[in-house]
Amino acid sequence: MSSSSTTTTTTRLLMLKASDGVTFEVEEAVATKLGAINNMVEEEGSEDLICLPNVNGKFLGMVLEWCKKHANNNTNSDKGNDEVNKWWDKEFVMDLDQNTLYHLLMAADYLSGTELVDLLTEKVASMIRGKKVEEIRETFKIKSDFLPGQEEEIRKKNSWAFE
Amino acid sequence: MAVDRISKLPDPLIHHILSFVPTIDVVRMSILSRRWRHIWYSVPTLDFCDIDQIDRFCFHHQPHKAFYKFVDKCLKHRWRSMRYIADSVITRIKLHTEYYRDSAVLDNWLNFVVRGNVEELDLCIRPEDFDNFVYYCLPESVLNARSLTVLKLDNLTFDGSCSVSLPSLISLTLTDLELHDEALHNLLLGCPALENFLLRECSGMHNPRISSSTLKFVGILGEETSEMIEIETRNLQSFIYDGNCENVNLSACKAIRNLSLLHCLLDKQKLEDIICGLPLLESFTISLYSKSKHFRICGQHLKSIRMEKIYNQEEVEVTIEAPNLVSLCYKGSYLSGELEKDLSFTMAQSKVSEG
Repeated sequence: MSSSSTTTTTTRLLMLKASDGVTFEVEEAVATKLGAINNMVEEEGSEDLICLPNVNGKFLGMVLEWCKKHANNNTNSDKGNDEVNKWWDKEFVMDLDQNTLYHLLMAADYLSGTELVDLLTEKVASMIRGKKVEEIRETFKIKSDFLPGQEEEIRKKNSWAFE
Repeated sequence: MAVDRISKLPDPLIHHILSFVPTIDVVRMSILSRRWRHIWYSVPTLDFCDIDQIDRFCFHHQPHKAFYKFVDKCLKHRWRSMRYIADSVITRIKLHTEYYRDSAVLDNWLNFVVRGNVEELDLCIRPEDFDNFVYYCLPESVLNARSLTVLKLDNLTFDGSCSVSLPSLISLTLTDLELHDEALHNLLLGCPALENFLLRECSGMHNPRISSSTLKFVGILGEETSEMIEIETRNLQSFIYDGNCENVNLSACKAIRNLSLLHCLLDKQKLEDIICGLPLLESFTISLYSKSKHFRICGQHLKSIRMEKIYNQEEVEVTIEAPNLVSLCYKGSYLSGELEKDLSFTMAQSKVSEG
């Protein structure tokens, strides 16, 4: 949310390398929105190539795109930007398929992009809320691996939640 | 072919997702698969809201009783599981329900979450019978919850003379509460770290005094009984008042940057004293009421002014002396006639003076 501390560092560029070898050149102020990268820069400086072996180029690209938008919106002075960010966030998560959502969430979590994790987990939660268990199972393709009768047993044991 | 991705997420991320889902649905997800069976024991946020979630119990002949039973059982299971599940702390709980005059049950629930070091508590306990209001009285444990950072209390009461110690509390919201001056004073004395304080639709105050050196935001909305309000908070940055008190004293709050006075009944002199006595004021919002016909708005740092005319009234004359003004927005409307006229304009110039 607040990026006032990063605005003083002018447009220094960082080189990030994804697991599949794809590299990205990103402004430091943008990339340090990610806690993990911020820590690496603070500890080891920003001259060397930063390798991110747990993130694939496609999803790293998407995470950085999100960071860039938020960094840009936040530089144009205070108010109104919350609205812009919210609107843009909505667009960002609107049409994500579950596969992309999964990888993005894993990437955002690995990079400690707290705000992005919040946005993505809330998106998944919105796909759960108001649905019956069978609908949730269908939405997320969750297969039951209970032994025969076991599900019924849980229902009975916790009947206070299923009545 | 779509595959099950969500079950592959690590536990902390699943807990995070389920923090945004009503607890009843989270518990029911335990029959999805073995992966999901015990997840609900570790979700740090509990959300019990009878109004939003009563449809889950609609097959029950007494849905509200079923809801109560659910909350009770759920908390008891969580309590028992804490002994053998490491990451099963409850950090946030929302409980919105009707009050069936069984205070012992509610006390038990709250004592349990307070003992577990809950950090955020959002309570709304509506009286059952609107002809004969009986409010739930908050147990002392909640007012002495050392780990609490956010507290929202709605439609209940508390003993105004009991000792209060909320050393970590940062945000406090009181809604629809009967609150006397002494109780308010006593409460705030027990909150040495409080930064945000919102009072909404509270009654019973006559001369409330809000005094604190940590408060940054104070909002008093829908206030109708006070004769005089005194705010003595030297680090206050934002103040919103929506009520009909004619005497609001902000003279000790020199750090205010954002000020909103809505439905304001202050006379010209008091209004000008307030506005012109705030040297750092940057943003000012006022909805004009009959008493303030001619007045002056001044401020070296004022960047934004919003004015709204609520009732169909005579002319209003405002003189603005703000050399650094960037935005001025005026909205006028005629509520009585079929004619609705809205006027809104923004100016980008350094000197604005208007008659």
